[in-house]
Amino acid sequence: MERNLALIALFAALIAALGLIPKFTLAFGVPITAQSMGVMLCGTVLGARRGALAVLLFLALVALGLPLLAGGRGGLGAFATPSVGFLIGFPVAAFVTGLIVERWRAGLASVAAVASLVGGVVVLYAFGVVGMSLMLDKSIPQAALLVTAFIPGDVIKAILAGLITAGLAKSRPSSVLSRG
Amino acid sequence: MISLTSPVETWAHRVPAGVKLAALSVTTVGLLALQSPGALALALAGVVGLTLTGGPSFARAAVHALKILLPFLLLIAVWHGVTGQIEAGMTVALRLLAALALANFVTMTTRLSDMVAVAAVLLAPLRRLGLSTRALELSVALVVRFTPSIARKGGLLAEAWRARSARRTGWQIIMPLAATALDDADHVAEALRARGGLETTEPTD
Amino acid sequence: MAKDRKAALRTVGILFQNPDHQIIFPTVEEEISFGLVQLGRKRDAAAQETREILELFGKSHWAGAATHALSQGQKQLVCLMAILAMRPAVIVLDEPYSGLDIPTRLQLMRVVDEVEASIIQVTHDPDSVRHFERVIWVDRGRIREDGQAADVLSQFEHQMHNWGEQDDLSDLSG
Repeated sequence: MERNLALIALFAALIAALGLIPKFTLAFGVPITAQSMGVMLCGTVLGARRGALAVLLFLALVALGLPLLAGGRGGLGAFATPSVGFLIGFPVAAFVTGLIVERWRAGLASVAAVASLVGGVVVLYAFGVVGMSLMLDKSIPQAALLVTAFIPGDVIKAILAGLITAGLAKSRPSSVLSRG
Repeated sequence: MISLTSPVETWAHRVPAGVKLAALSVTTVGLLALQSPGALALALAGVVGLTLTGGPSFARAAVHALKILLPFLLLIAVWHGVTGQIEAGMTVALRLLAALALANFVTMTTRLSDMVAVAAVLLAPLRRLGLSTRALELSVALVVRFTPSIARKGGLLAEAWRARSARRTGWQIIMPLAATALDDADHVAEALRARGGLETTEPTD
Repeated sequence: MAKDRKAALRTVGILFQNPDHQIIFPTVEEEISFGLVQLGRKRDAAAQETREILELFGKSHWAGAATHALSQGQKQLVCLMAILAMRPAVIVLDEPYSGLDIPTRLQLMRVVDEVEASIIQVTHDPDSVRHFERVIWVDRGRIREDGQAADVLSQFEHQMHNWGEQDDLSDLSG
């Protein structure tokens, strides 16, 4: 019980910390923010339930007024922008990602990558696109068009999340709860 | 960890958080219902007036928070300019600005502790599902306590990267960072158990 | 700016205080070959040079070892090897022995002494630099003494003992 609480809180802190570190570089020198990778890792490392709770805790703190989103943003206003769909999708993404890693017992690196792809990209973008279409008063296809530029970067993030998860399982085997 | 509450004391700081949040919810729903640019422009003017009651430095900080909408406003301007739907474009833009400015006003005039209190009240029904408010308070304290230290370690790892590479920091440093989160979690769990487990009253901070 | 940094990386290596804040990769060989690859070596050449430096230190069996399972002293040695592999002309050591027990400290000091590069060491501990060619005492951002180790260190230790008698521990830095 204490361990669950500690892991959930620490991973919420990890997501926040990833927003404070300046942009990373991906494989081809493209700069990105790593916060969404933190969401994927919550799912792949902690599993569906704990991962989702960690992300919810993070969002709760953002709503309460802490500047934990990348760029020092936060507060209730963060939920009043066109990207709100993505925020709402974060915990769902973590849950789906965690579910896949828990249920699909193949090699961790690939499973985690695929799980991050399904949860952190497909599911997340579904929420994000719907949110954007509502806030910008556009049709779904139009909103989808607006976000296509970000998809390749997030696909790479999903693959990296797989590698990171596999690495963590090797160095901290008892801590990767998704494969209990 | 600094919250987004404005250090400038305004009349709104004294209004109970619950009241502000309820008013915000009602007003935001109202904003979504409005369709004409004229009505929304009035609503925005109202929010601007509200913000100005906080004084010049308060208002400046509020404007700064609106900058996040700039890329979207630009997008709307281009999209609707090209398709000729100026009125629809204005409706969307004004609604976004008004909603964001109002939500931000509540954040800037409400202390973190008051927000936590409201959250505790709202989540009280969930106690049946096994969620104790102490666990929540403890979780919040833990996140506030550990975010700076993990971020600091991230900075140090980034420095260690740049001491050996001319390129921008690579994704590989996320792994030792996540490993640290796992280690810290183990230590925290141990510390909690050493103090009698989750039934204790005070957070570890 | 990038060009200057590349040149700087070839010339100066930095060993930070805490190896836990410095080691990025999960295995020893990845950690050591990282800098080499960043300097432009191909994978094979980097792997070869990594093997060579491990052999030089008699630690060939460390190649596939997990970095997080090493002791503090061992981790510092890995960090040092990672820097030395890049063959810098100058190495800056920032409090490299803090937190290490005496035998480990002595072992690492011996390693550092035998290194070919020029060493600049930042430290609070006079013993670790007593045999250095030149010691610069920096106090509150200003150079207070600069000269031979024996002279500067004796003045330093004298002042430290004086201050130790006082009570500025209670002053907050704010």
